[in-house]
Parts: sequence; structure tokens; C-alpha cells
Amino acid sequence: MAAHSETVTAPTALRRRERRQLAVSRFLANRLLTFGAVILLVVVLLAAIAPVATPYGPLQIDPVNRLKGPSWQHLFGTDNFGRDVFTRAVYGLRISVAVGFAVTAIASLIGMIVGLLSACYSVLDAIFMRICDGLFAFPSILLAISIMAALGPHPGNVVIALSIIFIPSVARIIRSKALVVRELTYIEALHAQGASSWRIIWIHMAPNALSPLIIQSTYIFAVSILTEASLSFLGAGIPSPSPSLGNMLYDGKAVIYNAWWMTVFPGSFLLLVVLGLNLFGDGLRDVLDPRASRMKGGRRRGNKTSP
Amino acid sequence: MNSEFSVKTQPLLQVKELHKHFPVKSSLGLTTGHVKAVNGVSFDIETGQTFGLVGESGCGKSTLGRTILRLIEPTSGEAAYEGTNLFALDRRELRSYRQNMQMVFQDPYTSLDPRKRVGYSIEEPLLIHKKGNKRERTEIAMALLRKVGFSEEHYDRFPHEFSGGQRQRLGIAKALALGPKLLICDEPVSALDVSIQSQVINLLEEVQEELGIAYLFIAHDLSVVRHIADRIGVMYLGEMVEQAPTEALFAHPLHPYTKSLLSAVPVPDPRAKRQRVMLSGEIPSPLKPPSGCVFHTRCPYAMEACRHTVPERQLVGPNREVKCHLYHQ
Amino acid sequence: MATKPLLEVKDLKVSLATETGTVVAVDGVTFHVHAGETLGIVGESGCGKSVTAESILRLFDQEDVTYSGQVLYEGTDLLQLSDRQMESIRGNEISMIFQDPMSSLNPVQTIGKQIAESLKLHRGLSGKQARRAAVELLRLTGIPSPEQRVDEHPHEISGGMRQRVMIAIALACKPKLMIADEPTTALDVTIQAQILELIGHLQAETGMGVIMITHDLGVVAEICARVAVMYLGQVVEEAGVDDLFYRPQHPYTIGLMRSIPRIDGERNRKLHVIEGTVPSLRHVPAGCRFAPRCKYADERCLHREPPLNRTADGHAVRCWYPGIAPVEEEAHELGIFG
Repeated sequence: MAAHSETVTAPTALRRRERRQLAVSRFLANRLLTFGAVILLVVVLLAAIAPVATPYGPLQIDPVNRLKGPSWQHLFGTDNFGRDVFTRAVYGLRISVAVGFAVTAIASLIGMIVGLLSACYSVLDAIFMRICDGLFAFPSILLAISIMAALGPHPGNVVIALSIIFIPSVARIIRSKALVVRELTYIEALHAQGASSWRIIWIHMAPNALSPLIIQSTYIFAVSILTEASLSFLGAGIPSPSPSLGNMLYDGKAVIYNAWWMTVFPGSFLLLVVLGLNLFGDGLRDVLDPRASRMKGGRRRGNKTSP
Repeated sequence: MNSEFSVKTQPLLQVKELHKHFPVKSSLGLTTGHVKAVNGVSFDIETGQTFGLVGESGCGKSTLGRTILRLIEPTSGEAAYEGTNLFALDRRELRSYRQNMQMVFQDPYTSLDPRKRVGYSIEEPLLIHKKGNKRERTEIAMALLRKVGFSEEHYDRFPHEFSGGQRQRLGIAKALALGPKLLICDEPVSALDVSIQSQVINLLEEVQEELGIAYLFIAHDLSVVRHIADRIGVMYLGEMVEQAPTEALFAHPLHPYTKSLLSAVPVPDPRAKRQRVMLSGEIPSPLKPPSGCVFHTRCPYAMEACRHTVPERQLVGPNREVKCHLYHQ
Repeated sequence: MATKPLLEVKDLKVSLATETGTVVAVDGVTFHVHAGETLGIVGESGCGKSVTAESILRLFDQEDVTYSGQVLYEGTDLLQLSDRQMESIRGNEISMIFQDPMSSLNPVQTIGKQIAESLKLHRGLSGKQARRAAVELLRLTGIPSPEQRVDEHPHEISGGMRQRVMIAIALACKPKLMIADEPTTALDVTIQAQILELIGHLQAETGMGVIMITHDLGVVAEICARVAVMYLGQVVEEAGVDDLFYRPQHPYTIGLMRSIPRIDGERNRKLHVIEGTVPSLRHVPAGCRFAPRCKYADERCLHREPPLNRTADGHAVRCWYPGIAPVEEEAHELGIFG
């Protein structure tokens, strides 16, 4: 809520249009956000059209053309089995984005439920938060490897392992915001009206506690893609021969002096998607929370809206 | 102790010897003492009347209002709504009794869910108590919007599109949705600008005239309470030191605290003669309230008895009572 | 008045640049304060009273704020001074107290240190001297056992005491002008009475000028000698306190006075309502700014902005038809206007 619109009232229709214009202009004015959004758009497009983008399949072996450098036939060259690196990279990107999306969705949903319940019930709070502390205590990649070791190598298990890693941080964020929301007058008013806890938590607290998650989710997305790549690189993630950016890097490592393209192209794809997500996240934060960006300027001295 | 001096008909709400003590915990979680936020308060609210509750911050007036609605559970005492003790109800019974009593809050900016359209917020109480179908609920909400001075097009707006005074009117509409007989108004106008205050006060008066609702009107602004209340209770450090009909209280305040409180209010008239009963010092901490009469540390008339004996409630004159040794027969 | 005023604000205009364009928060405000005089500035939220006060001390100094007009303090235009010169004015010649004493005090420093700070800064006292002076100031503001209080932290004392500490800090360098921005709004009435009495008492003793910013007409009637009423960034009426309360001219002033419930006078009268709400500073009405909410507005009011006209007795009104609104309800019911 813009601070200046608190005390003032003009014809409401006018103000509504103004606000919308303001939001659009803020969006466009933010270079980080537009740049990040363009990168993400390209990435998603690549991932979506993967099957029709190239004439090769990701697992299609061509023993004659092994380790060929980039050419018009093989844009990113071929690997040690003669597979087209571009095709594999695009498919790998596809898996990365899918895993990242699934992890973000699952971790946000479960984290939100855990966070809200912890904020409202002190018994659950004690239990959930101790579990979260326990999960926080392990380095995340180590935890992911051990979960994968227990579950076995499978893309679905990667999603489960990564979700378990990110649930505690989402739960913490939602819980702290929900604790603030819980004390607001409209929640008290609902109690006074005789509303059930279910209604209060899911219909009123949930939407109001969600805002910090929007920005956080872009980071979860980025970090989960990176972690998935690390897992695959270490051989604990997506099993070969399915393409994933991580195991492509692993394959490339052995021949890095002879066939640089096997590492450079998947590596840049990884860089691209993570950069895009981070720029988008930073931009989103600036737009949604203009106070934070103004604070960076450090020019405020007094409170502008007179009380 | 008899508060039944004026029982002609049964009062709408009868509060008897209400106590609310908050435990104070040390860092180890042990209870080290109690804050006596409300300490033995009794009063009646008649149907369609306004009972004003005044006092300075920390006197327990807001806690008292919330305890009656059981938003805070009482320590002991009784609050009888039409003869039924609210404090003895179980969860389900309480839920249905809450239709009869609603609350209007102080802060208009946080009293509506910012992510719900105001129409939804107004009809939500009906939804909670499963009253009517969708169309009937919408109709009731529209009627309430009109009653508080909006048009039907405001139904689909969000709270941030309204100013403080407008939101307070929406808060009143929401509180009226279930047709309550008692409205607890906790400082409903103190966050508003002067010219907006009068709109809300007038609205509350109109609503009362039309629907015959009783108000428990909690405020620190004595001018506002004098305007709206039929009867006033003055609280100090968790105790009700005096209660009387409004006219009588303002004409002849009895308790020394009431006297100083009334004389401290600035009068918007530069020619007004002021005779101030200045109080020395500040309100003592409710953690360690003074022995004897709670007011004796600041009272200009404090006597020896005040320091160690707690004054009883005295009936003085018709419908008034005071808790002070000066009026001890 | 024969003597030169202590502070003279002439046609002050403060514009704030925001994302959606420039907002003129204060538009052509003119007033003056003499030494030993209390000027009240009254108005509702968003009328620009706080911005005006803070502009005198240039507390908004930053690139998105532009000032025009003059703020003459003893003949010097404060708006023309360098930042360095301004710092020696703030807290030293002119000091300010705010509504919320808790957020204006540093929570991790003792009260004594905070009072001593400005004494050391502006008057070059040593640590020991400053501490002694701090104790004296606390005593002056009526704080009991100041020798002990001086070593306490802000959270250890009550709201009323904190406001006294703020006043002690404001008085530290014996300012000639004190600006009080809603100093008692956050306090209880009995404490408010104490603080108002303290301000009045200190003023009589030191002969400083006081600008009292408030929304409470009661406070104004109690301690001010002259009053300026502000609406939407402009002064709409200015007069001596007796004149203003007994012969108000502007419909807004009259509406404001009639809309408050009073502790004296008749109890059961219906409160007057000023229709509508204060418009946004982004959508300032053409013509008279109060016209859209004024019952007596005609074509002229809607299109032409009235000037602030001053009569011989010093009563200034910004209205085309001063005195048109009835002070009493009955007069209106008889319908003097149409």
C-alpha cells in the first residue's frame, strides 16, 4: 500500500486507474525485472519447444561423429557417444526447469501449511520448529545426497529430496509473517464474530501471510536448479543416460581439454537460468516493496505523510 | 455489596465482580506475579442504552470490553447476558451467543482484511453463522452499506480504497450484520480526524435510535463519551472508582480522580475559567498497585485510611456509586 | 505590532516529488511568531501543518523536496542558509518536540547523555558540566529525583516523563523558538494537562516563541495567543484566539468547531458534519480548496481561488464570503442562504 494514499481520498475510480498505471510503469521502469523476465521467457520457450527444436533425440547415439566440435550440423558439437550436445542441453534445461518448478510448488505449499499451523498452535509450533532446526543443521547438499541414497536415483526422488530441504525455510518465513498477521484487528474481529479457526487460518491469514513468499520462491527456484545440477554432477541426481545439466557437466569433465563444448554450453545454460531467476527476484522485490529500494538510497530523514 | 438497587427490569448485560489477572512470567517461565488489569468491576447495561467507560491508558477498560466478549478469558466473575452467564458457556454455545454481541475496533486501518472485498467482509458474519443463501446475504450487505452511507457500487471495492473514517463506517456495518443487541465500541473514533469523528458518532447514534442497540462505549475522550453515553463508569488501575448517569457525573463528580480527569480536559473556549485539580505524579505500575485505595498515591485528599484500607463501593444518590473513603457513611 | 517578529514565514511553498508527479504539500503559507508568543497551527491529517513546521527547520532537505518563499528567522532567510549554518540553528536557536517521544529518543543511551549531547555540541560544555546542566534541565521540566533519572534509559520511564525529557532536550540550548508538533496527542488527559502547563510555564520564564501544532481545538484555546487554521496546504483563517473562537469567519473553521462534542455546553445536540472527505493533494480542487465541501459555495468559489484577506484587526480569512456560515445551528435552520 502506497503510504501517500493512506490519508487521501479522491474519486475512487480515478485512483484505481492511477494505481494500475503506477504498477505498470514501475514494472517497466525496473530494468532488473524486465531483463530477468526476458531471460526466463527464452529459457521457458527453449524448454517447451525442445522436441521440435532439433532433428536429434537426446539419447540418439552416432558413434561415427563422436566428440565433434560445434558445426552447422551440431550447433553445440557432439559428446563422447556422438549425441548432439544442443539437444541434450535443451532437454537438460527442460528437466531442470521442471524439477525447479515442482520443488518450488511443493515446498511452498507444505511450508505454508506448516508455517501457518505453527503460528496458530503453540504445541505444533514446538514440534515443527524443532524438526526445522534439525533440518537446518545439515548442509543442504549433504542432506540431499543422503535422502537420495535412501530413496534411490529417480527424477521424482530428486524433487522429494529438494522439497524436504526447502520446506523449513518457507515455513520460517510464513510463520514469522503469520505471527504478525495474527495480531491484527481483523483477525480479532473474526474471533468476535465466532469464526472457526479453519476459516481464520485458511481464508484470512493465508492470503495475507503469503506476500514474502512470492519473492522467496524465485530464489528457491534458482537454488533448487543449482542443487539438482550439483546432485546430478555428483551422480546422486538424475541418473544417466537421461540428460540433465548436472550429469552433462560430469560427462564433460573427463574430456574438458579435448572437447570444451561439452562443459561450456550446459554450463552457460545453467548460468543463464539462474541469472534470470535472480534478476527477476531482485526486480520483483524492488517493485513489490519500494520502501526497501528507497532505503538503499538512504535519503529519508523525516516522515513525509504528516500525521 | 448490592448492585441490584435499580432492578426494575432485567438489564441486557449484567457484569458482576469481574476480575482479569494476567500472570507475569519470569524468563524461566515461572509466574512471579499478576497484573490486575480488571479487578472486581460490576456494572449493568440496559437495553438500548449507552454505557460509557472512561479512563486513562492502562486502566483496563479495553481488557474489560474484550473479556465480556471472551476474546480474553476472565479470571473470575460473571457477565450475564439476558440472564445467561457468558463465562459458563461452552465453545458452541458461545459461538451462537456471539451473534448478539459484536465489537467495533479502534484502528480502522487493520480492522478489515486487506485482501477481501468489503462486501465479502460485511457478509462474512452471516456466512459464519450460516444465515441465508448467497443472494440474501448480498442483499443484507447492500442494505448495510446504504445504512452506513455508501452506495451499492462500493460492494466490490477493497479496503485500501477507503479513508479511515469510511473504513470505520464499514467496520460498523460489519458489526451490525448479525443484528446484535450489544455493540462493544473500543475507542471507535479516537484514530479519526475531528470532522470525521462527528460523522461516525452521528452514525452510531442513528443506528441506536433505529435498531435499539445497546453500546458499551470505551473511550479516553471525555467530551465524546459525555455526548454519547447515558451512563458512565470511570476506571482507574483496573477498578471502577465511580459510576453515575452522565449528567450527574459531569455536574457533580464525586471521586477525586473523576474530578481531576474532568478538569484536565481542555475546553475549546479561550474565555473558559479553569479550575484544575492537578494530579501529581503518574499512574503507578499495575504490577505493584498501591495498597489500600489504588488512587491514594496521587489523591489530593488522601487520608490515613486510604493508605491501608480498600474502600467499599458506596451507593450515593440515585443510580450512582463511588469507591472512596470520603463518602463512607 | 511594533516589534519585529521572531519568525516570519512568507508565502512558503513545499513541493515533494513522488513517483506520480509533484505534490504541493504546503502552498503559500504565511504567518509570524513574536518572542514570548504562542502560535497555534490547527488542522486535520494531510493539511500540511507538520510539513510546514518541519520545513522551518528544513528537516526534509533532500533532492525530492523543493521550497520556495521565505522563512525569516530574526531577519535571516533560513531557506538560503548552507547545510552547515542550518545545523547551528537546529536545536540551538530553534528546537522541536514531536508527537512520539519514544521514537525520538535513542533507546540504548541514557537520558542524561542525550540531553548532554546537544549541550556539548552547541555550547562546548565539558562532560561534567553537561551532566550537571542535564540534571538541572530535568529538574526544570518537573521530573522527580533528576539525579537518578539522568542515568536511566528511555524505556524505564513513562510516556509523560519521556515527553518531559524531550522538552528538556529541546530547552537545553535555550532556544528562542520551540516548535511543538502534537506534543500531547499520545498522552493521557491528566498528563496532557501537566505538559501543557509546563510548556506555558517555561515560556513565561524564558520568553521563547512557541509554535503549537495540534488538531485539538481545546489545546489551542488553552495555551495559544494566535491561531492559524490550515486546510489542504493553505492557511484558511488566522486570528487572535479569542477572535477566532468567538468570531470565526471561514466556513471550515466554523464547521470544525461545531463538529466536536464539547465537555461544556449542550449535550444532546446533534453534531455538525462537514460532508465529504479531505481531497488528495494530487487532486486539489480549482478555485477555493474548501468549495467542494462547503454548503455555501457558489460559482465564484468553484472557479476562483480567494486570497488571504487581512482586516484591520489582524483577522485573516481565505474566503469569498467570510462569515457566511452560521456559528449556531439555529441560524442555519432559518436558512440565511437561499
